[in-house]
Amino acid sequence: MKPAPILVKRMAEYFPPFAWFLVFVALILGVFINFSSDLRRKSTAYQGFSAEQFKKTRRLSTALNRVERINTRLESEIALLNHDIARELKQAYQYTYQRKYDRLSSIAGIKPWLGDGLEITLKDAPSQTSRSLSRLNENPNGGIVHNTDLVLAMNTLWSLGAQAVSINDQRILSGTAITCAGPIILINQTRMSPPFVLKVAGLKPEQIRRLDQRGSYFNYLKSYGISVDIAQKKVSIPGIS
Amino acid sequence: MPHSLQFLVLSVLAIVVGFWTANSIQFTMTEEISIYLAMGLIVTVDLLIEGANHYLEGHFNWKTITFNYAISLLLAALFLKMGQLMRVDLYIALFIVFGVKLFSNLSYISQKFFSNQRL
Repeated sequence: MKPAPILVKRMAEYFPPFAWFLVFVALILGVFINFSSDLRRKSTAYQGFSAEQFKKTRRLSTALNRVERINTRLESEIALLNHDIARELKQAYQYTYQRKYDRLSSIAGIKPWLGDGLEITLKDAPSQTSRSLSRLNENPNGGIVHNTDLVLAMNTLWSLGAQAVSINDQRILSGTAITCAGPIILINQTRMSPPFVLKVAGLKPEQIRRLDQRGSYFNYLKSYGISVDIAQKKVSIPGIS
Repeated sequence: MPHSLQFLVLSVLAIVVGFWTANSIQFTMTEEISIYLAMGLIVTVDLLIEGANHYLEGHFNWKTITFNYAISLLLAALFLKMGQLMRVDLYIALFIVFGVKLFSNLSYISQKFFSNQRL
């Protein structure tokens, strides 16, 4: 048997029902005495008032009490609503900052890009094309992919609205230097030689069509015999390392 | 400690507990319900006297007393409300009824005291 029931049983045995009855009545009397004293305290506060003033004061006091109760309830509702607003704002800020972070990290090249895109492969012109260029009194070096070609190709892609670009898996950003070092090209201090695989993301179909139109820089490269192969496929562009 | 003294201590403690409970519930007493308070007080005192009377007569049953108390309170409250609604001073009638009951019970107790019956 648990201790509490034992105690209750012992008390029930020790005190007769009349004792419990007395306790019950005394408890209720205590409550009534408190309420009476409260009423008495209020009544003495209104001493010297006329009957009309007393009634008016009581009525106003009752109304005030009611308004105070309503105020208390409304205050708690306001506190709850403020809590909800704070939570919603926090979520909204998180959402906004997340979107901003995503956009900026994409521009900054922090995030890798995986999805639909373009793969443009640039290769030097074959040797017979260089000889043909010589015969036409053109510079035979025109058939070679230079760093300037890559820079201009990049500018073309950026101006069309590319979101992310890489050359031979080197992410190209606004501060990336594409420099010539004799027979090789340096991108992000990495030495590269043809073929150059340009991975492009974020171009719309009409922009992709413009890449191959007359007057585009890629068509200009083709006129010098440089191989330009444009293919739409899933691309994986690495983030900045 | 004698049994009657224990009853007394328990009762005083219960009054204190009741007072403290009423204080802590933050109930606002208004003029409209003060009449109910007075009626409740009279019914409770009547209950006390009636219970003591039954105890002295030797047929005290707490279930009967509590049931009577609850019904008396409910009826008194109902009559008071009806009186307020009908703008009739029914509370006077209730005070007379419960007052008479209280004092008749008190007179029975006095008779038992003075006729040397057991307490």
